[in-house]
Amino acid sequence: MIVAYKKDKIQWDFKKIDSEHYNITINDKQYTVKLNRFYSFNDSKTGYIIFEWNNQVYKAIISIDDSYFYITINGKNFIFKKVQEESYKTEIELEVSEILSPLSGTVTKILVEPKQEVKKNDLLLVIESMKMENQIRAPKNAIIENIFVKEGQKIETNQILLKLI
Amino acid sequence: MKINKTLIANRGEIAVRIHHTLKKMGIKTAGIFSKEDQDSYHRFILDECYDLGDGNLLETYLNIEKIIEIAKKNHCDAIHPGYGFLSENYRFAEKCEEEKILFVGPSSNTIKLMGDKIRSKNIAKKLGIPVLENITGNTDDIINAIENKVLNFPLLVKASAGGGGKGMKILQNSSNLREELVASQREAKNYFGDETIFVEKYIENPRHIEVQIMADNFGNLIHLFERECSIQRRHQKIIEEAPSPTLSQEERIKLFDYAIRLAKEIEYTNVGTIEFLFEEQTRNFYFLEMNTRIQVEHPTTEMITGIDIVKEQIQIALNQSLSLKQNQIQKNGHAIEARVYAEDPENDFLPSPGKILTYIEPTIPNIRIDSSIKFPQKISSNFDPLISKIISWGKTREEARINLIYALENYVIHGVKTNIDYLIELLKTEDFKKNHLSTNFCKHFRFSDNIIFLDQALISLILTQNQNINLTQINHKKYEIDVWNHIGRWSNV
Repeated sequence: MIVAYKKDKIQWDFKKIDSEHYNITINDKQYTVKLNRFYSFNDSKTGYIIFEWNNQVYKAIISIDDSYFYITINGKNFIFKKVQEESYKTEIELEVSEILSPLSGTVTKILVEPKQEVKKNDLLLVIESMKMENQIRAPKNAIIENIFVKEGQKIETNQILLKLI
Repeated sequence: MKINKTLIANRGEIAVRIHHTLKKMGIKTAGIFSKEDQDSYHRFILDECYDLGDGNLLETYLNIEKIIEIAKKNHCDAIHPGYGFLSENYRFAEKCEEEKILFVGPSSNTIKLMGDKIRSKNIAKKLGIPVLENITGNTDDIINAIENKVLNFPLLVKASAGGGGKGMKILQNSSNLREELVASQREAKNYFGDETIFVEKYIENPRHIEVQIMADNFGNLIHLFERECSIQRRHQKIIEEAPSPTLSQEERIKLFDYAIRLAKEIEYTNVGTIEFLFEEQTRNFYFLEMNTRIQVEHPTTEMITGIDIVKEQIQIALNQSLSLKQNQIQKNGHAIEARVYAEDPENDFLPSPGKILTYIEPTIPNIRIDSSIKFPQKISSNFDPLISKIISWGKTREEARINLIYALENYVIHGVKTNIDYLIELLKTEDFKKNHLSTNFCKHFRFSDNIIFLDQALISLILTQNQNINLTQINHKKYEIDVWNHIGRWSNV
């Protein structure tokens, strides 16, 4: 299984040794850990887990939604995105040709039209959120294939805004 | 005079906080909510809460007519405006006065007066209180002001119509003064289409220090010490403390004198805060402005004095005299407040609205949390992304700092990105510990990419996957990937 931390994908593997011990490999690093306790609540969307590694006890609270794992472990917070192994390539392709909104808000300005040629970093559209303007710029030289939103439209995080060729 | 019911014309954490005091005083609470807030905690907890409908801020929380109508229709004797929104809108206070609804705050005239930044500075100047001098005008006006010592170096030159740091420069002395000013005017014209420039005394590493004051309708006026709010990002306060760890006792006395004299001059009533910039090199104060309302960071003052500022506000509004005299106000220990925001510090603090999945507050001694949420709910993109304020008290500043760090490490908010890790790292810096701070601190503070425990975080994730947690079905969207169909079913190993 693969998850992503910020832009890096992380591959892992695990093997159960006995009722308490596991061998876990993360990107080629090996860990032997002892599972102390685990408890899940809230319809299995949240839980806590206590494990030991290298003589240190780790306590983590984990929440899971459709796209992410949220973890608070020993006072530090992490968010991992779920990624499917085979489709990782597709996702990279998608990232480059489909522009998804990084936040939710309202589209206040659209500065391009279909068939228009844009250069890398050209301003494509502006989204307003929490009284701030957020500029969406072209990630590469491209041609606008399609625009999926209108000025004044309210949009959600990850909603598709434009498609580039 | 009695208040049966008060309308809280606000939302989020401050509406909840005001509600608690009113209930303890035996006063019923009514509130307002917009469609975005229909599942909010403040709507849940207030005795009554009225629908402002689905509209923008002007149509909802800033809609004076609608709010007054709700108050009248539901027999509210008083309105508490909270902070932000309509709290410093003199027309709102005026309307309340017209409709004979008690406005919890000073008079509309006072709000109007202190809302005028130029007039308020003139009043301060008249009283001999130093003010951050500034002039808007052309080159001749400015050179005149410098020659007459109205403006003194170093100076900050800004484009009047500008912003974002463009067209700003610092002049240390008068060499090439005319050329520099003309160049600035030209730049202002090029960038913003308006060559008017604004020149102000420049303070290199200022601290933001403010005084809490309180006055009844009978001329009794006291202060509740000072706060320092130097940790700011883009002029938004992030961390505040009471008292200021920077001032000597003599400097405090001077500061309180400025604040009290100013408040007396305008015959101020109810609760307010007078803000200053403090220049460390010269140990000078400069009056900035007065806020004629309760401040976001008021809990720090409450923690060191034991006084409920909202309660005092209501009692003053009820025409009671202040319950305490100045010499009865004591301060004890030190309090530090951190503001927890739904934002992404690693992505230029982009707001991170979304649905909160898990919310667990750290309940430890000497920690207070004023929160807008208690159960999982949505954080909207239409409002300030403030989730909560967390305030720590300690016998000393260091104790309060350690306590706050520990509490933040035990504060679990899942579902949105938060600035909790950023706050923890900031509080752990040597500079913060030693109080080597200024309002420029956040510009230079680099939040490092946190990879300690990254592998351990993954291990915890991996172990839970093996414990037969059933994950909720992923909604199929064109650009999201269905992991679970690929991997297959879970089973106990």
